Order: sequence, then C-alpha cells, then structure tokens
Amino acid sequence: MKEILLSLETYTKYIYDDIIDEGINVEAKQSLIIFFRELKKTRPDTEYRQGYVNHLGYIPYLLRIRDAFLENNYCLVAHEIVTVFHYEQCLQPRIYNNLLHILEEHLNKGG
Amino acid sequence: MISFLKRKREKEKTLPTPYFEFQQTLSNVDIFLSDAKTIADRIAILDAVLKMIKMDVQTDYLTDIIYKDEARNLSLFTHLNVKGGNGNMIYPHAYCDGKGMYSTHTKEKICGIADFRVALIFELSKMKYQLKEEASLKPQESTRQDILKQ
Repeated sequence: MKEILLSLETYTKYIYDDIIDEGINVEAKQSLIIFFRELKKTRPDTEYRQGYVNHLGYIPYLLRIRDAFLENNYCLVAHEIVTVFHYEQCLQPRIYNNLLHILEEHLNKGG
Repeated sequence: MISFLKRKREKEKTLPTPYFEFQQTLSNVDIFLSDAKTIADRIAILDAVLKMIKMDVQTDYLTDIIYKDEARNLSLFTHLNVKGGNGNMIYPHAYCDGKGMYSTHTKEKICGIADFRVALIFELSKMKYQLKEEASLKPQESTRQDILKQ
C-alpha cells in the first residue's frame, strides 16, 4: 500500500498546472484504479480509533476528493488521497468504506 | 485495580465529544456549501455528506460502542426513521445539538440523542429540506412577477 501511495504522490506536482496534460491525467486515473484494487484487498482495522482531531474529520477530505472527480482532475484526486492517508486513519471502517464507495462510483463512471 | 481504572479512563478519553463533533462537522460542511454556486450543488453536497454519515453509522466500530444495549438501539432506529414517517413536518419545530433535540418555540428538551451522528443526520436533512423549499419557491416568485408585469 505504501508503494502505491508513493506512486500517487508523484502526481502532486501537476495539481497547480492551469491545464493538466491529458496523458498524465489518464495515467493518474490508471494509478487510482490500481490503488482502488489494492485498497479493496486490504483489511480494515479491527478496533476503534478516533481520528487525530475528531471522529468525522475525514468528511472535508472526502468532499475534496469528490470535487476533484467532478472536475475530472485525477492528479488532484491522487493528491487528496495521499493527504487523507497522512492526516486520518483510513483503515477505520468509516473512512475505508466511504473511500471505496467514492472510488468505485467515480472510477466506473468513465469506463 | 488502578491499572484497570486507568485503562477505562484512557478508553473514555479516546471517544468523540458529541458537541465538538457536531459543531466541527457543521462548520466544515458550511465551508463547502458557501463555495457551491447553485442550490442543486448545495443539495448534492448535503446528499454526499448524509451518505457518508449513514455509512459511518452502519459500518464503524463506534456504533457498537454507543449502542451496547437494545434500548439505545431502538432509539437509533426511531430517529433514523423520522424522515420516513412524514418527518419533514418536524423540521420547523425542532433543532438538535450534539446530545439532544429541542423545541424551536419553547427551547425545551424533547429527547436525548445517544449518537451525535443521528443529530447530524437530522440537522443536515433539515438544511436539505430548507434548500428544496427555497428552490420550489423561486420559480413561483418569478411567475408571480411575470403576472404582475402583464
């Protein structure tokens, strides 16, 4: 999982570009699909842990991921996923399931 | 014995604080709502957040911690089903903080809420209902203006 997150981190440098290169965007989408498959294989935590700040602190991160998907900006999605993994405990069922749900919903949409 | 009490206290410390969670989440959602341009966008954001919180209630370990006994479990389902039983009617007359539901008119406590996520579901659904009302009123106003012009 760490390796995939590191590969997603490489797309962070493109998020400030005014126009993102289509090839890089497609590449980022492929990386997200690989990440999604790997996340599905990973088991969630077995006991409760509160977030670093609060229990529902993951909501803004997931909303930003949703926004980036709506803009079709897959580099930004990759960046936001790395961010949420840094600041929240993503293997808690609440975040794990919501993240899987968002990825499944938006990655399937584009085919 | 002391170590047992220490462990118990540590466990209690790590549980979320209802008021803080409630206020923090509402202010976080407000930031996204103020950025949204149209009412439809705001409703879509509220729908997304409601979906997330419902998933949280369904799957997280916190649910097992809060709803240890069946009596509390029942209160969860009655609260969640508020909307099913023509719950829209209640929105103008009640509001929630993280721990209870209060009357808008008398400020009296109607009932306690064991789970702050249920209180959030209520408040966010209320916001969504108000936005829908706003959206349904807008075209009517324009038609009224059109009639006046004629």
